[in-house]
Amino acid sequence: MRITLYIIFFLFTLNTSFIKKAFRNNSLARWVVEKSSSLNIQGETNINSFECDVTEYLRPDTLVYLKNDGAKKLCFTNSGLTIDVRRFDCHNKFITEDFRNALKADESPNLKILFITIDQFSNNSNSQVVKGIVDIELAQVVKRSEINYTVKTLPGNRIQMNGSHIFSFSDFKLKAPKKLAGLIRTKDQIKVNFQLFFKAIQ
Amino acid sequence: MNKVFIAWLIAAILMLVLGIGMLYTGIYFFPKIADEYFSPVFRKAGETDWTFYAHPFILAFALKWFWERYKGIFEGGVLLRAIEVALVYSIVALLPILWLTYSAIDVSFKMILTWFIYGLVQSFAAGLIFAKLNP
Repeated sequence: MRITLYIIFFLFTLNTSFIKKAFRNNSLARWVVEKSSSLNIQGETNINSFECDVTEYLRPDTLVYLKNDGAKKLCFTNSGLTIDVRRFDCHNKFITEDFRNALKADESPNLKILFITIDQFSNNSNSQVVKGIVDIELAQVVKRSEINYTVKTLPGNRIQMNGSHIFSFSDFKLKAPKKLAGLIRTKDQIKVNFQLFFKAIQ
Repeated sequence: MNKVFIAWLIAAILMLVLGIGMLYTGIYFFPKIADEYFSPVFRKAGETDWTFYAHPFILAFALKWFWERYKGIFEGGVLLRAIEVALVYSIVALLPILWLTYSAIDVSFKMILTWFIYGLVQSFAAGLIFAKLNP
């Protein structure tokens, strides 16, 4: 019995020292999303290709993360971006309206990108490719995705993160637009490109 | 009766193939006009898709009735009679209904023009079949 208690005590001490060490290596920081951030979607129909953009990020969102200096890993705490789907401009009034309808913009107008983690992040990087995990919520469906970002540190504590990922309308239980009994149709896959600018705040 | 039915069926199938073929030709040569099909005035593909594919059968039925009733007034060879059927259908039926469509629904004049051409070609094809099979 005594030996068991000694083992439990030893393990507890060991564990708390790990936690303390882990906390010593972690630091909390914030990124403010800059207005110049943009999102672009590329798609194809059986007529043409199209591009839809949101070129201005108007919400004052802040991403809060815990950085593990040893592992160079950023763990975000309930931090994300919210984009108004109704602001997508496809540079063609018919496609813009149809695209917004396909994304169910009237029912759920927000596209949410929730940052989960970013691996191998360095504060001084010049076009370094890092891996990140995000939850994307669209039309009330959440999809977890792994995204490769190209990170660039800019002067004035600013960070630029570019990335792209291929999604399908069906990932979010949406239907790609089809007209005229399916003779006119949009392909299910769309490529989402984003260019994010952050201002780091300690 | 059997001959009439066969002529109707062949005309309908030919018009369906021509309709789809002309639509894709339009997409290839005039993609900007075809983009308009994404306008909200057009139904989403779904439960009513069959009505689109049924339209040549209805048109062929109407043209067949018209042919059987008035074929006596169309004189000349197969080609000339088919042209006459196409012109009569396009001027009497297609033009007024497309005029009304243009006035009431937000579709461009170019789009309306493509529909006029599609209808003209389809009715010409039906006229050819009828003049050949049920002269």
